[in-house]
Amino acid sequence: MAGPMSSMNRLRWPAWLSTGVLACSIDLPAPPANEEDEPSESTETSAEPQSLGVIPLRRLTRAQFTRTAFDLFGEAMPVDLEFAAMLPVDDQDGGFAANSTAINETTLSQYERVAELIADHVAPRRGQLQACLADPLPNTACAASFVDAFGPRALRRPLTTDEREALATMMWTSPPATADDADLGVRRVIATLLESPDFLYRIERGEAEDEAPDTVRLTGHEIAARMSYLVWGSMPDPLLTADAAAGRLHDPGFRATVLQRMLEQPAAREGLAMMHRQWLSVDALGYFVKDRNLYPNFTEALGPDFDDELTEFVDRVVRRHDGTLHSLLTANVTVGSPAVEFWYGQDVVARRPWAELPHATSELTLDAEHRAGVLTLLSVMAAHAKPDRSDPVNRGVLVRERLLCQPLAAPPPNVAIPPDAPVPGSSLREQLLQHTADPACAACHALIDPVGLAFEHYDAMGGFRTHDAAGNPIDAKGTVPDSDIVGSIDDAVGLAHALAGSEQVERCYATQWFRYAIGRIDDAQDDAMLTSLQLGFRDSGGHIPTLLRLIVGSDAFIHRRRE
Amino acid sequence: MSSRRQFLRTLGLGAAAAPWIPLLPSHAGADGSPRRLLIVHFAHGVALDRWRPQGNASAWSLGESLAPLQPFADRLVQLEGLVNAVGRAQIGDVHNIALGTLLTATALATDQGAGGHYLPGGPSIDRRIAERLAASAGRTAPLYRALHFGVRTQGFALSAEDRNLPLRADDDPAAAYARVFGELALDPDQREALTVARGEARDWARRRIDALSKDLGVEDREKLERHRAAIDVLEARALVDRPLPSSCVMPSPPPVIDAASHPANADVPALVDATNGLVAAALACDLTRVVTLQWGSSGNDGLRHTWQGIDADYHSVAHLANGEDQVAHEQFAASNRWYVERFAALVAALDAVDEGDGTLLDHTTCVLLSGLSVVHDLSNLPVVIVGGGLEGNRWLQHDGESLTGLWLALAGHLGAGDIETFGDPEYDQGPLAGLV
Repeated sequence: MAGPMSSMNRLRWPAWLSTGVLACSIDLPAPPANEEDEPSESTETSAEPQSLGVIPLRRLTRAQFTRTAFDLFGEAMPVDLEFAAMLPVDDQDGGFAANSTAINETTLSQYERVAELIADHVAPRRGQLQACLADPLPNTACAASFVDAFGPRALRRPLTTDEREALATMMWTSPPATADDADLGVRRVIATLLESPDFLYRIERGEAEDEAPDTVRLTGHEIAARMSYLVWGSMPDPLLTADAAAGRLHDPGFRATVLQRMLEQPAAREGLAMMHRQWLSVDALGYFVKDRNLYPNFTEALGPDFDDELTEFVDRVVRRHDGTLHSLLTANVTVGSPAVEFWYGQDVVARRPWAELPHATSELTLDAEHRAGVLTLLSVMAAHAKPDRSDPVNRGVLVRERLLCQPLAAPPPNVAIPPDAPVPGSSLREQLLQHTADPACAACHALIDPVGLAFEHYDAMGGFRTHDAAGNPIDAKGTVPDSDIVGSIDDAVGLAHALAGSEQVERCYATQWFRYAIGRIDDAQDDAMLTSLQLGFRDSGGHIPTLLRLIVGSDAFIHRRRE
Repeated sequence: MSSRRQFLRTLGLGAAAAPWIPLLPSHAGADGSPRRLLIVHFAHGVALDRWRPQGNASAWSLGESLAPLQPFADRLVQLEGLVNAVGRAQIGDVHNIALGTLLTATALATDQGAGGHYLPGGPSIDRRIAERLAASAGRTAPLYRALHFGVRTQGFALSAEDRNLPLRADDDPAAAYARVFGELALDPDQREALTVARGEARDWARRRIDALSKDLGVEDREKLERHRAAIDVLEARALVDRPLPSSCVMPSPPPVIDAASHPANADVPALVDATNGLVAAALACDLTRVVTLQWGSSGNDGLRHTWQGIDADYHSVAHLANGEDQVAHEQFAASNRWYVERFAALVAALDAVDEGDGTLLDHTTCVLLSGLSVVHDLSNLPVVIVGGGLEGNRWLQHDGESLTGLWLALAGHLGAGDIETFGDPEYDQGPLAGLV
C-alpha cells in the first residue's frame, strides 16, 4: 500500500469554500423508497449496541486541524497560510489516521509553533473576528465580548465562568494603550485556545450526571463534534452548536434531520473526500511522482488535479446522483480539469461544462467499456502504480483489504522481493507467475494477483492501454478467489460490476465508515453495532447517506463506554 | 582559524556558500569533555561485496563503499555477524520490524503492515543512555537529553521513549533549526517575553489537563499525563539560564526546502547536508549529547537516488542487488557509498572541533548502520563505528551474536554502564565482548 502520509502541503482552502459564499445548497435525492423514516425509540433493548466501544483519546489529524482552524477563523485567516506540514505527523493506522499516540516534547513544540504562527497572522486581522475588535483601540468590555463569542467555538463547548474570566483577563483588563498591545492581547488568547487540550483532542467525557452503570451519554456538544468531524472533517457550525445547546441532538430522529442538512452543505464535499481518500489509500496524491522518461507530460501539479477528480467523483455520486455504493463502484461519469481530460485521452466520449466550481472543470462521460467507478479513476490507478509501470500486487491488495476487508499477512521473512530478474519482453502477468510457482508466496498471492491483474489495462498514469511497453497485448482476465464473487471476470470493468454486486463488499464499505467514525479497527466488542449497520445499509440498497444516518442515529453514537 | 574553515569545508560548504558559522566549545571540564553518542541509520542494507573489508583479519582494508572513511581508519571499527535476533523472531512487515526494533531490542507493540506506522515495544537505547547521562551530569546536563533528526522518514520512528511511544524524527531542518537554535539567538528580554507569553498558554493547558484527567480511563489519563510532562520539559528548558560555551556561535538558518518532509528526490542531498550541519552544531554547542540521525523511512516509499543518475526506486534496487542483476548491484553500491560519504562528512565536521583534550569526534561514538543486510535479512547487519575514543583499525567478525550486546557495550563505554540489561531478555546475552 502507498507509504507516505496525508498530503497536506498542497491543501488549498479557498475562502469561498469554507465560508460557503457560493452556498451551493444541494437537494439530496430522497433515499430509496423502501426506507422507513420513523424516529427510533429511545428505549434501549438488550440487542441494541449501547456505545461505540472504547474509543481511545485522539488528537485532530492534520487535515482536521487545518480545516478546523480555517473554519474557526474565517476571514481573519489568510487564505494562503500553510501550516499543515508543521503539525506532527499523523499516525498511519492501517487505514484512517486517528492520532491516538501521546504527545511528547517534540510534538508539543510543533503544536506550539503552529498555534503561535496562526495567532501571529490572525491577531492583526482581528476586526474580522469580532466587530468591536475592528477598532484600533478596543475598550475593556470588548475582551469579554470576544471571549464569549470565540471561546466556545474554539473549545467546541461552552466556557465556565472561571474560564471566561481567565481568558478575558489574559486579553486585557484595561483598554489597550496601542493597537499593537491590542493585537498582543488577542494573540495571547488565540494561542492559548489553540494549545488547549480541548482544541487539540477530540474530548468525549460525557454528561457528569449520567448514572448508568456501563455507559455515559455524551453531551450535546460532544455529539455535535462527532457529527461534524464525521461528515465535514471539521468543527460544528453555529446551527449545530445551537442544536447541541438546546439538547436537541439526543433525539435520533432529530439527528437524522440534521445529518440531511449537513450533507447538503459545501463542507460535506471535503468531508466525504477525506474519508474516501484514506479508504482508497490515495491520500499521498499531493506528491506522487512518475517517470518523466515514460511520461514527459507528467508534472507534480497533476497530483492536486487528480485528487480533485476523486473528490468531485465521490461528491457527485453521493450528493448529486443516487448516493449508492453501486454507483460509486460503477459510474462512468467523472469531473475533471483539462489536465485530467488529457490523461483520460480517448476514454472521454462526452463532456459538458461543470459550472459548480469556478475553474475550468468539465463533467466527463467516460467509455463504459474502459471505465467503471472509483477504482478505475486516474487518481486511484495512478496512486496504486509505480513511477514507471502498473502495480498489480498493490492494486490487488487494495481490493482485498479495503473493499473485501480481508487483511493479508506480511510476506514471509527472507523472501526475495521482487523475485528473479524478469525475462526481457515478458508481460507483468508472466513475471508474477513466479508467485504461484513458489509455495512461500502462493498462499497470499493466489488471492492478490488474479485481482490486481484485472487492472492491467491501466498504466502507471492510470491511462488505458491495449498493449504493454514490451508490446504484449494486455490480458486482464481475473478471478476473486475466497469471496462471494464467483466465476471469472474479463477486466477491471467486469470486476467493478462484480464488486458492486457483492454482499461482502457492501458489508465491508459499512465497516470502513465505522472504522473512520471510531478511529480504530473494529473488534469483537463492535460485532453487534457493525451487524446492525451492515443490515441497515443492505436494506437501503447500499445508500450511503442512509449508512451515515444509521451511524449518527444510533444510540451507540451518543454514548461512550464507561471505564 | 584553520579549524573553522575546515569545519565548513568538511560539511561540503565552500567559503562563499557558508552562512554557517563554525562552533567551538569551551574548554573541557575537570573530568574531560563529556562523551557523546551519534547513531546514523540508512535503509535497506548494503551491496555486501563492496561493504565487506578486503583482505584478511591480519591485513585488511576498507571495502569500496567505505573508502570515504579511510582518513579515519585509525579510529574506525567495522563489525560483522551481528543479528537483530528480536526482529528476526517477529512476524510482520520486515521493513517495519527492521527499523522499529533496531534500537529497542524489543518486538514491535503493533505492526500495521506495509505503509502503516508501527508502534515500538519499548524504549530505544539512545533514550536509555541519554537518561543515564543526564542523571549523572546533573546541573551540567545539556538542554536536550537527545535529539532525533531525519530526512524523509515519513513518521517511521527509529527511536522510542517507551512502549507505544514512538519518537519520530524531525524531517524539516528549517523547523528543527527554529526549535533548537532559533530561540537561543534571542536576547534576554525577548526570551523573557516569549517565555511569559508561552507560560500563560502552558498554564491553561496544564489546568485543563488536570480537570479532564478526573473523568478519563487509565490509558487516556496516561496520554494527558505525558502531555503535561512534555509541557514541564519545555518550560524547564526555557528557564535554564546556563550560558552556552562562550565560543558557541549561533549558525544561520539552513536553506528552506519545499515540502521538506516529502521532498522531491532532487532535494534529498540538500536536506541531508543541512541536517548534517544541525547535528554537528547541536553536538559542538553541547545542546545535546545523544543524537539519532535517520536517512529514509521504512519500506517501499518511492525514494529514488535521481541525483546519482539512478532512476529506479531505491527499495527496488536494494532488492535486486546482491543477486544476478549487475546493474542494480552497481547502482546499490553507488547509493551505499553516497550515504557513507555523507557520514564521512559529518564525522570530519566533528573532527574539526577542537575540545582541548581531543576533538569532538574523539568524544563522540559515531555508529553507522542499517537494519537490514541483504534484502530482508536481519542477520549480519552492516555496522561501522568511528570515534568516541575506541581503539580503531579493527575488523570484528562476530558469529550471530545478538545486536543487544552492541548496545550494552556502547552504554558501558559512554559511562552508562549501569544499564546492565536491555530489551527482550531472551535475546540479551550481555555486552558484546571485545568492543570497548
